[in-house]
Amino acid sequence: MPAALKEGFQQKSSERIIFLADMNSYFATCEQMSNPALRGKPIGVGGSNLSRTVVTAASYEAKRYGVKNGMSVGEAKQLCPELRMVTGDPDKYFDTTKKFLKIFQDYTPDIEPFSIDEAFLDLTGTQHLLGSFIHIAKEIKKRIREEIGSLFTCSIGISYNKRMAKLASSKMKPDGLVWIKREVSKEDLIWFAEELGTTKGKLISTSEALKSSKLTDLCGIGSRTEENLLNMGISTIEGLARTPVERLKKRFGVYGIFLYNLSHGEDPSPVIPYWLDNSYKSMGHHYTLPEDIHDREKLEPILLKLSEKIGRKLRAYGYKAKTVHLFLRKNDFTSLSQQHTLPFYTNDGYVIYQEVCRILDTWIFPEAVRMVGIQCSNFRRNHDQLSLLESEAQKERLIQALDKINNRFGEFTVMRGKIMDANLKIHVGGYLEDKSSLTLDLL
Amino acid sequence: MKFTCEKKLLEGALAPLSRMVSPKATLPILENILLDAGKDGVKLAATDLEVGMKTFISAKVDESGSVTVPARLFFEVVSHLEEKLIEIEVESGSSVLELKGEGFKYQFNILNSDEYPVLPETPAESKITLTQKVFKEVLKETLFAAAPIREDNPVLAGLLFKLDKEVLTVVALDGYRLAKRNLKNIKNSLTRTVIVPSRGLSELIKLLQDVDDTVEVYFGEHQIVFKLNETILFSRLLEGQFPQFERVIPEKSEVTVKVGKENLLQALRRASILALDRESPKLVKLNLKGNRITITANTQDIGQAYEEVKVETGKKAEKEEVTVAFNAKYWIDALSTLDFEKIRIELGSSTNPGVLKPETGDDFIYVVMPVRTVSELVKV
Repeated sequence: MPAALKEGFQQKSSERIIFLADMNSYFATCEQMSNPALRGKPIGVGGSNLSRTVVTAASYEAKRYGVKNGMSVGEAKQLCPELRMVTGDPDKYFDTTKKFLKIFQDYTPDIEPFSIDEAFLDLTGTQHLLGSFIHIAKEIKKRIREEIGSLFTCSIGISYNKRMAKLASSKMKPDGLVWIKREVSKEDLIWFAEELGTTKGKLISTSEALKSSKLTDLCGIGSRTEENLLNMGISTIEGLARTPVERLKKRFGVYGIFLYNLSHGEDPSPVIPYWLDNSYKSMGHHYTLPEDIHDREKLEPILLKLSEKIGRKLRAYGYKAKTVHLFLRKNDFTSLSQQHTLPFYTNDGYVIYQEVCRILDTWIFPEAVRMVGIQCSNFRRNHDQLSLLESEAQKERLIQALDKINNRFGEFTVMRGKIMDANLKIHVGGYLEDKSSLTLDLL
Repeated sequence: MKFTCEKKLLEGALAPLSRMVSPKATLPILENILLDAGKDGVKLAATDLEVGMKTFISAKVDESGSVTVPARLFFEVVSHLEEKLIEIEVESGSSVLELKGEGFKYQFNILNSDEYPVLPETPAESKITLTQKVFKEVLKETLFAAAPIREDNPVLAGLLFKLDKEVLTVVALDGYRLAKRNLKNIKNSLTRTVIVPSRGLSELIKLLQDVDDTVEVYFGEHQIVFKLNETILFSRLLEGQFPQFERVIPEKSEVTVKVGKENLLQALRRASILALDRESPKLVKLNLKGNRITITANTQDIGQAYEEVKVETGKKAEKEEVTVAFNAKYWIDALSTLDFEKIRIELGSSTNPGVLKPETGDDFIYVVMPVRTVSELVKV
């Protein structure tokens, strides 16, 4: 192994077995499952105001017409005139996600939800209990169809690390089963075919897999990095693999080592079970307003509600934050954004809100606001030194009591008067930036 | 002005005086020390208007007069001199002070002493008299628990002095822990409650000796004045509401045990070496069960510590078990300051304060709030 590789990861004596299970056309399938009239038809899932939205997720039927996720509705309708747009229902998707995560739990506790429709599973060392991993993959596919819904299919990628598993899952969609192995022998092929039986699937070697992929097919290389690499004269994975690691390190820092490893099919990152993941760097909420808001008074209740939600989430995860970031997008798509750092750490939604107002004070309120976002960062773990002072303790007890009530009777059962009328309609978003909302009551 | 004095005497007086002076004084003259040579010796004074000190050293005065000199520089030079006797002179009309002896001469620019603020005299009323030894003990047992300067709640950087006829109660409370000491049977008929900034007191404690000589404490309207021998130390009082400390002291705890102070202190010191969490420093868990306290600490990816300390329990306590997490610093602070051989420890639930008392009696009490660990958070 080249010395540079050692810098980035440590080779384990026994190879890991990592799955990436990716639900195919997830939102669209959820909608089709709950409404039989939509089955077999090209549909697109979008936001609440269907004229302002984009196609967040297209069904396989729509994809056949060339409709792609992220297209504007107008564009999509040109390609596929009979496309039916449906307003997304995030609760439904979260609910379904929890169901498939529950199935995964029967095979391993080491599950890392990667987005709302995909998760990593670490199955290293389970064979002696559960049989071959190909068999497990087949069983998972079957159980998803039987227990969640007959239309649900997933692509399972299997490999010796997370990013190779992710790459494997993308090699056959929908309903794929692809195993990427460092080196593939004749015996491997025979064993794989036997295990697979009638299920469709593929076994490919790492070098084959990398050769048939573009740079951006690798999870961890986005369009920005691709551009940077192109500027360095690197346009293929092969090219990246040939680039001296020193050069990459010089250009990208630690990320350069990661890229180098990745181009050789190596990725040392572990599967972090969600119940261990305490790596949040920030928590926030953003909200696209159903209609533009023109004055601050109308926006304040919404900002307060978002702040309270963040406060509650911080408390749920045992964090206190020091930095508050406010973001406004105007109707002309320009934006205002600023962050303040407090002199102390907080997990009190009202304190966050007060800071948000202080930021607002420094701005000229825009003519029309389209979207607002609040984010808290600069965390400290909330091992809380309790206070002797009655005033501090009182504040704390109040928040605790509110949390208890809201836990039992639902979010915002008790709330500040100011936010009584601030209804946030939930939006549909693909990437699970906030795994927290998914994992709260899973266990 | 001209006088000759013992270097040792002068140095001893200048050391505390130079600490009274604020390096960022609002008036230039406040960076100076007042020297006032009279018949039998020299009066010295320094203040930053919050705390101040006056003292007296005997000297052979040839010519009386008063001037002010830069406190820190003057002290530094004096403290480095090897002479036994030093001579100080300001020629009349001159703006420099000369410090000289065999083979050396230092000159300091002086400021006119007329501009020096008038320092308070000892008020005639409201006086109690204690022995230095006892008062030193009282301060030692409380001062460590006061907060460093707190802009949001300035009174926490002070000690409460509550004089109620024959009992003096001194309380320090930084928001997370409290130390309270009662002193009974004082000759006094007054009732006064004042808050004294800890800064002046931490200077005072250095001046107090373990002797039976007395210290007089004068409770003024806006100031408290301490008089010991030739020295007077005064401090402005803090205004504001001191927290209701009585409420903070738990009436009873679930478990009480007796333990050797030194054993507990050393075990805590060792265990907290492995409590390295950056965000909650020195986090240790105390578990009390049967006839032992166990102390555990751990830091992810680094290691963990386990210590056992034998305790004496009452009959009831043997069945109880409590576990409470604390910032070990708060216990170590107290245990390393106190002179008791054996102490009582009282613990309650994981969110109730821990209590430390001497083996017998209630004259001293120390209360520490625990740390609520993440695992005990309200699940949302």
